[in-house]
Amino acid sequence: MSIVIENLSFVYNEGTPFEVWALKEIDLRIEDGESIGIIGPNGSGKSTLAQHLHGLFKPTKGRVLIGDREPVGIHPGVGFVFQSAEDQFFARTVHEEMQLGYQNFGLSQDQFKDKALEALEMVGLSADIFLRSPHSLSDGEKRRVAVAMTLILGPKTLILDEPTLGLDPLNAKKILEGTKKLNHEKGVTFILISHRMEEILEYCSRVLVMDRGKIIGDGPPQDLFIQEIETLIRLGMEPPWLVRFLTGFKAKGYNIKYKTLNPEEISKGVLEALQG
Amino acid sequence: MRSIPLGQYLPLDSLIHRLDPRTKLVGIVTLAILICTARDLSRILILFIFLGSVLLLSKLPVSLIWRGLRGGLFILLFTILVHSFFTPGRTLSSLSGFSITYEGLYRGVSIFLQLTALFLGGIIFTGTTPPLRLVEGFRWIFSPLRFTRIPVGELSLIMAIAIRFIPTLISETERLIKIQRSRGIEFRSGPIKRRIRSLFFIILPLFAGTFRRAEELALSMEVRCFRGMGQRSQLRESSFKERDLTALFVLTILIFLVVLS
Repeated sequence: MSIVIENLSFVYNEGTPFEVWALKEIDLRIEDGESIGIIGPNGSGKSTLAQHLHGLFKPTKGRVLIGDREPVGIHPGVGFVFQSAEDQFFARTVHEEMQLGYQNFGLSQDQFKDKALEALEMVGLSADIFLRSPHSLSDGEKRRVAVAMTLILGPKTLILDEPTLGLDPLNAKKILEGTKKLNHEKGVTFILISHRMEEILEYCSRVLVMDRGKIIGDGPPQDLFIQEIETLIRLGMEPPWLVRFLTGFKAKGYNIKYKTLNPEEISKGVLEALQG
Repeated sequence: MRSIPLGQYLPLDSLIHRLDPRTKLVGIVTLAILICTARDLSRILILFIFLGSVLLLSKLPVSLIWRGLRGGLFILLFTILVHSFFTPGRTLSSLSGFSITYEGLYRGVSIFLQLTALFLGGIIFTGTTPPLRLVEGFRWIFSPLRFTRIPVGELSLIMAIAIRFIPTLISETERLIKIQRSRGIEFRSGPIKRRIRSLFFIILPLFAGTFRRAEELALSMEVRCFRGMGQRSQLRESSFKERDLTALFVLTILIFLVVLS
């Protein structure tokens, strides 16, 4: 299920003093099974772009095609995990919470329990959590339940909007490892919005850089982070420590040989460079 | 929902923006009383002409007001329908066994205009007065209550925070609607019973979030040693100017016009 965006523009509060052009003439193609990271400063249009892919917004100009068709309302094949998605909880148990979306999309009730347990397992949670109140969970567990609630719907494309915001590294890793596994094993298209460049480098094979409603960079993170380091710093973003280390090392006149931005490979390259 | 401008301050340079908050508060309270007690269309029309003039003077964009009104237009039109059909009186027209009465239509249109006028007054007041100046205004209007040991400082602050939080709650509701829609909950289509049930999926998390936000706000005020009681100093002291006197004079004329018409 490829996604094509043609000349997409979107304006908030059109015709009022609060009018903001959030997206400006964006063209983009996302192939099936890709893992894409979207980065950019606050207000650059990352979330607005992602919400268009989910069918939450109607473009002001241009169009979005999901599998060759323009979505009418929410596209069931695209799962979306919102920022602080745990705010949506209202049910008495995690079981009820998970069942709601499942019922609404008309999925088979016979398979609910198996699919729910599978989804919980993907984010590192056990079946014990099923009958607990979602309000009694820790922040990390709540967020993981919110992700599992999207995974249970069996999306072909999964969009995660800053899923690790405010979480400790262990909880963050469990969410990203679980969702990335879906991308590897089931070919689910994976779109991650994040301010943590390390996450983008580790989990995505393509990165889009956004600024003031436009895509200003598109490429593999390994190349783009190095080539566009000055742009990223100018935009107030912090490139991964490995990239900063390499750039600083190169600036001192050392030529490090490496194929991937892998700490082990880089350390070998550094040793070789130092030994001349 | 984002288009609802109630509670949103818009910094512009206009005569209404420059008025003392106390003048504006007296004005809005007086207008609200006049609007709610006006029983015939001629009085409501006078109030509309006045509000229209104030809107022009405030330089607030008419498009913004229209977008805000458009959101609640369905409910407003519904009030006309309900009154038209269910108020007893002289029959104007019949529709599938139900009669539209002249008195009902008159009453429905009057209530429609009254609610619109209240909304308009609210937008002009909050759109031209910054939240901190609102506190000043409330403190002044509640000041006579000090003698009855009512905590005037806290009371005025509560009022100002409530107004300040309207846009925050609107954007929070909008965010929750999006989250729940992505779980397949429909708000705009389907049977009415299901749509009403869907509202609970918004209201419950919204309440929980509002209490959490209120607790955080109270805590952050506590750590800054904020106390509502006592004599507080102001960064900008309001002063009653000639234009405020003129505004109050115009308001007095309006009261006479509405009462005597």
